[in-house]
Amino acid sequence: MVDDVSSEQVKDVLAKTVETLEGNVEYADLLFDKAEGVSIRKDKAEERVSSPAAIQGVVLRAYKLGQWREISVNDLSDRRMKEAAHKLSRFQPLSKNSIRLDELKPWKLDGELDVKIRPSEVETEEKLEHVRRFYNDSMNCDRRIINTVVTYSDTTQERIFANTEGSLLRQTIPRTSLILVPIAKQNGKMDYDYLNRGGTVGFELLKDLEEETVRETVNSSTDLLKASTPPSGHFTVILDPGMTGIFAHESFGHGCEADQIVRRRSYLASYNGKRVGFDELNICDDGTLLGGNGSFLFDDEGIKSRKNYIVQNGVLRGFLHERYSASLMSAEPTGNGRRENFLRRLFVRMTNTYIEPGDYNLDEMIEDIDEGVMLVHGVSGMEDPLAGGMELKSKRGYMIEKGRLTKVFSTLTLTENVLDFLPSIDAVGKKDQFGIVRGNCGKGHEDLVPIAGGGVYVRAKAVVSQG
Amino acid sequence: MSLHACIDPIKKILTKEKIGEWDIYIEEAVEHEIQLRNFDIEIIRGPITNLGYAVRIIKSRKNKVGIGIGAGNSLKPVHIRRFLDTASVGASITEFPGYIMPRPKEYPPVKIADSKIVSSAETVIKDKIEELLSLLKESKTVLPTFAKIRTYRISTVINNSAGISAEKKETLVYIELALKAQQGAKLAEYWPAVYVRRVEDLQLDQQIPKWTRLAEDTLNAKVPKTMKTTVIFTPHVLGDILPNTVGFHCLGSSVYKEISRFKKEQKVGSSELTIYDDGIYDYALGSSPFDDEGVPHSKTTLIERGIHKNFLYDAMYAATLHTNPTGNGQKLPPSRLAFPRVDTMYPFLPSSHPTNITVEAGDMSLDEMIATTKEGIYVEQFSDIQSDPLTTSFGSEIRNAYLIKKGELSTPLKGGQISGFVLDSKNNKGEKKNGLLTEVSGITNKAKIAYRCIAPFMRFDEIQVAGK
Repeated sequence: MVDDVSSEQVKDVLAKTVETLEGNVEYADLLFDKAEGVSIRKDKAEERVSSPAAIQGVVLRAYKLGQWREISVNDLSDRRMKEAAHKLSRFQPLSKNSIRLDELKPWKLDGELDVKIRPSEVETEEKLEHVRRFYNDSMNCDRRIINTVVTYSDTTQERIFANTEGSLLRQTIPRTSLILVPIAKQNGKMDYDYLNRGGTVGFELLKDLEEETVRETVNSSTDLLKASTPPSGHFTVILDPGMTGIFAHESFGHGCEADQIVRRRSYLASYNGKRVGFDELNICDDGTLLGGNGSFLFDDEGIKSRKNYIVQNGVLRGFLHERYSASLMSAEPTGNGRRENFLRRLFVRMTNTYIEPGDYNLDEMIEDIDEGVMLVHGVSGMEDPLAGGMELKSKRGYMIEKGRLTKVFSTLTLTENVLDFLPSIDAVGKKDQFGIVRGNCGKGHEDLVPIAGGGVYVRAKAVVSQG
Repeated sequence: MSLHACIDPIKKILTKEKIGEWDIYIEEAVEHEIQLRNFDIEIIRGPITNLGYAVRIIKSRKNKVGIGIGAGNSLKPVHIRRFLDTASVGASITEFPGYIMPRPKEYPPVKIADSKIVSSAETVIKDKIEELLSLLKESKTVLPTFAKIRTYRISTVINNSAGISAEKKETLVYIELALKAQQGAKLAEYWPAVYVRRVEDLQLDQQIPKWTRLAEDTLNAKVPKTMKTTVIFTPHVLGDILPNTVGFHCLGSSVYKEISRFKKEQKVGSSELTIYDDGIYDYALGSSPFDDEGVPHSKTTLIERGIHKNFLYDAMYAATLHTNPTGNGQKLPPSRLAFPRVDTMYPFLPSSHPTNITVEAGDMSLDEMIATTKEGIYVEQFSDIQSDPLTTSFGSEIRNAYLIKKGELSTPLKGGQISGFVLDSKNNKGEKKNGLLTEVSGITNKAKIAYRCIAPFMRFDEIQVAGK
């Protein structure tokens, strides 16, 4: 079990343990992972205050002859760390290849992502008071609101990294989020919309949130009580910035993760350097985005975070890498090696993924459509890295008829083949519509890491139905 | 140190601090895993160990109850006191409608552990990976892009101030892999992910040939046309849909919050349909002798021949609604994930959840079900068909499916989507639309464990398909 040790003590333990691994394996690294924080969930019956993210421990990882071996412990005692290091240093790969990891220059860092108000410096009672305020604001807005679920969460993640190349890094990442779900009911019908705010920001998120924003979410929920049955079929569609982000991340970005290329599991493997969309299409993955939920100073292999263009001027510019895929493909690591926590393994993961602005007004995009569907308030998406299928879900949508938004819909699903969808994009919204939405992403069904996705409104063609 | 021994120093401080009502939940998880990249071993992980605990403190106030939780890893007295302070503050500032601390009761016998994993997890994993590799190499046309096999051994102890002292050991095995078929530029995949309690339940010798065939067939898949038709869903598809929806509307907490669509003795589905919440089904994923508050698990009838019968209660909503808890208090995140976490559960406050949503088997075989379907779609896998608990709306891209024509599986399908509602709904004009539970037109005679669901194959009529 982990005792309360200072960051300096952890650094010492990690540096000492790394020394014992040097010479016994080709490469080794250690990651100390500690998360603290508060989660508050309030509805009409309950006020749940807990710390579900509270976890700490160390993962020790070694590389030899093309194979990784790792051990995780939540006991930093000398004895336990020595045992784990000893076991790692004796590891005999079960299969062998000659791929060596490219050596990287060691560096040192002790940094923190800055926020205005550190959540760790705010009393739990004050956090609960704000949550109660949003709850009351929502419940008092409209008598059709029968319940409101407010979920506040803050985590402060500390990660300390050491490797056999001599890097020794420490970072602190605060994240704060607020989700508000007013549930509306009338004549036996229930529905809801939601507000989702957050990122690598502090408690100012709650202080800055206005009553008007809560009111808009409530109105959106009650509006869905009169939602029409959505059409089913192939339509011209407009995605809002959040939905665009889910597309950029889930549908396109997962196929650009280089571990999928190495596994021979990406429909984009043969598209490097080739055109995938129109001239003005730019898709980025940016781990340095200010306030982005997927931002950090260095990834879990000690690589400095950076902005990577996946698609630039419509051409696929490269893939996202961790160290192994970069070494194998003669590329640079891009700062995308991430773990959920010390109990989960590292994969290539995205950070903040978005489509850069173009030059269309939303009104212009809608005006040109005779019959179409606009999807807003993204809920989720699912990747299909091998076959390039796509599935995006939105909580809300509108019918577009003769250049005007008409009926409102609740819960839509959009499907298409990515390589048919991308060339069908014929309009990308302007900079003033840019938005980025926080979320969590799994590698398949598990290994959730904080990410963000966004961009601007885009117009394309896809299959739409109720979802 | 044994888990009981870990509890002693916490209890000692609780007694010294004169804290009246509390419970302690302590969990130790040990994980082993091997992952493949194509036919190569990519990483060997383990032991991945984590031991943590949570203390809940309950403080009764006028007409309300405060509940706080403190969780952590360290057993040093100074840290135990810090976690207890957190729990105590939580109990002082929060408000809940009621709570009665569960008392000791006899626990039902239920099997949830595989002795092979308990005694030699590392060997089990190595053997299974070898078997997997050998079976995969038999295929000339299909390549694994990745695979993982993981075991968990989880020990849990619960103590509370009313005298409960409960202990269990459970095991889990997880397999996930992606099988790729290729023909020129055409690519297709079958991507299964399955949790079971025992290694023998993986049944790799039967599953791998089936999964390989699904990948191969998908190479020739077409997008369906837009239509309303009959669909057959597998137990795994139902495992993604039913617990989130039927389970949600059967919770006592949903009743109290006025968001349940069910009322006792109300007709909610076809008369062919009987559904239980069965927390004591041997080797099912949601099974256990007791829930995360120490209340015995049970089997509760939810829907009998289409009529809603009972709700499910954790200790809080049982106390609030003046009934008995049914063993449904679980430390699960309040999310819609089809794959809930299986470890690191200790920091969560228990809340109401179903255990295993169990559909009673019908009277036809799967072959008979297909043979008696004139036209329709048999869906093996969707992209991600998580249903919305409140509205029960669902919709997802078809990943691996077949058209049914004249009682036989024909063209493979991929793309397009299937959507609907699980429960009956009304549109904005007040017109009733039938949900899945009403549109049942067949249930097979064998059920399978699928996530937190035990279900047969089920056939539904008049379901919306959207395609080209």
